[in-house]
Amino acid sequence: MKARGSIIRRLLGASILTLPLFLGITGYAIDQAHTRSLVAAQQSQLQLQFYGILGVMEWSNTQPISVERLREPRFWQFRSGLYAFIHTRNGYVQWQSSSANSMEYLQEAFAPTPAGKEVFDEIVLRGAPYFRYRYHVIWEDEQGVEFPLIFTLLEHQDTFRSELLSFRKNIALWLGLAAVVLLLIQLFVLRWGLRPLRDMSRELRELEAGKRESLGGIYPHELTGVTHNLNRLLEKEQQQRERYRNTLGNLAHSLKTPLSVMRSATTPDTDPQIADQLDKMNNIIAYQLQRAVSAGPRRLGAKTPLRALLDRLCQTMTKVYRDKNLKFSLSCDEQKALAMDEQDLMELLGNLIDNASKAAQSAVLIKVKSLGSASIEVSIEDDGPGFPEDKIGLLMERGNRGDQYGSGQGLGLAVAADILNAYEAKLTIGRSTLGGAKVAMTLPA
Amino acid sequence: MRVLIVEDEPDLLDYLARSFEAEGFACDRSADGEDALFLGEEYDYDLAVVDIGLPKLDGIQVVSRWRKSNRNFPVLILTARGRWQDKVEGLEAGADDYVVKPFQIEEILARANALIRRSAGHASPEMRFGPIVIDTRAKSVLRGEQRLELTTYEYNALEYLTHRCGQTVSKSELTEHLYDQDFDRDSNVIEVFIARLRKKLDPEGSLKPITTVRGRGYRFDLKAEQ
Repeated sequence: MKARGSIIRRLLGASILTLPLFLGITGYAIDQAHTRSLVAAQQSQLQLQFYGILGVMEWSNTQPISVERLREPRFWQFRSGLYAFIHTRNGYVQWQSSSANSMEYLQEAFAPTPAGKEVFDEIVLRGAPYFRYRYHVIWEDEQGVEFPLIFTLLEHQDTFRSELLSFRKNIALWLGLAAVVLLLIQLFVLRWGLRPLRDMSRELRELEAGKRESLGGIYPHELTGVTHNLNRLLEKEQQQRERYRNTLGNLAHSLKTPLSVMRSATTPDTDPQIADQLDKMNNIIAYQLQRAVSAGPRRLGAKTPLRALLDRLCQTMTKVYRDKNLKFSLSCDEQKALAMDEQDLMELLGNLIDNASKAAQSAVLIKVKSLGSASIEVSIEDDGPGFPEDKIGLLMERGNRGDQYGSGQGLGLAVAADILNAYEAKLTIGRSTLGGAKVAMTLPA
Repeated sequence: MRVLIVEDEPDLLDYLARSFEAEGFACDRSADGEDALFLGEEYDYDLAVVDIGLPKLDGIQVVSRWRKSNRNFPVLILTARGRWQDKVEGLEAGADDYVVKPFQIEEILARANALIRRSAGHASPEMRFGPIVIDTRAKSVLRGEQRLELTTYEYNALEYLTHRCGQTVSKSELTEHLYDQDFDRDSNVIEVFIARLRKKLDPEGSLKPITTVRGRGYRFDLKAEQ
């Protein structure tokens, strides 16, 4: 099955996509609020300047307007960026701050304004942005004649803009830092939060590799259901396998003991037909039971260490064939293990080493070597007569004997072939350098 | 030779016992694991034939517990399953050989004889003591070129003594290994056997293969040749 990427990558990918959006909206909102507050501050400031001018202005209907003692130095400083005008409704300038000297174009900012109402807005003059504050005042002289005057204050937006830019840079920097910190925290939280899943995945890999028999870690309660059930499944499968084998073993015992009794009551000389049929029955039972107990390949569960199993078999053969005084030479590392059921492996190797022991004159050689990481070659050689070349193809069939030298039912090689087929393993038969037969198998590691 | 046969199927037990008795063995029978364990710990057998699938206590446990109690007589196990796992476990528990059911009785008898011979330290089925040659497979005895006519009991007594050559074997031990448990132990029949054996093995009285150790029993004095 195709894997669908890592959960951490998916969650981080989603965060990387959503975080800029979230932080962008946040940044925009903060910028808007800050800009509005800056503009409001500008308005208040211009309003204060207006009140300052109004407070110090001297006016009479015979004298030109005089505005002295203005505290804001920028009104006196040429091109300072802060300009004030007092003019009539038709744009006739009554007074202007020294800062606006020779800057007639600023008068383009004059505009009619409703009496008694302040107006604050922005205007662009000769490409430069300004804040504009206007107030229309109706002045009344002693005779009650009204003189409408409009106060227009302009402030260049340079300072405002640079302050805003600096703020925006700051906010972008902090939001960027916040994004990095948030991603790092999220990565840490994800790794910490998904650690049980990683542990489970590692244990499952070990289970598949045959390094453990069950999931053993302590998991959060969301996962215990899965791990507990998987362990139970593995345990149950093992128990079922055992029960199956025991049942078949008992069946073998139940069938073969009466067969032994029947055979004891007949002899090939007196009842050749019955003796022959009994032999056939026995062969069928033996072969089918052997096939049935073969577990076949396992996807999960511990591997079977090869060295210990071969040692046991060699010791057994030494005992069984002690009259022949056979020398068993075993070349196998302690670490070699096969992804096969232990009993299948013992049945397979037991039959083949038994065959080699029957054939051997004095020596049996067992060699184990790795073929890459996925398979191991096991070869069994003897110094017996070897298999006849023309019979090698028939050897794996049930009932065909490769020997004429010992006891047995001719089932060993056929059972071995069935186990090898179940594991999709390869077997080759040839001649050993010892002079006898060589049987080599490629088995799953 | 005294053999313990342990098998829970009565007909098969009877068949095995009769076959062994026909070969001159003295047989004790047992039909379950606990009884077999007791008999093996109580009596000194020359061989035990034990079925693995037994009631009360399985055959492998019986053999294992005999070995833990230092009962070292050879054991031949019978297994119906025929799996290498069972054979290996049986042999690791202390059994010396196995036969898979259903069996030919000839195979069992041949293996039983081989085990008894091996346990006495004789690698070959043919034992040679000077001019006397004993063939344990054919159960025949030659003196030089001449084949000796021995009864089953005479042969068994001779084989038992030769398996313990150089050791003194008491009359009661010889009786136990030649006869079933219900044999009358006061009988002087052993003396008669020994006297007849001496006459057949050494008619001129020059070889003196069997010595009487006064008050203790008999000793086979000829040395085995490899």
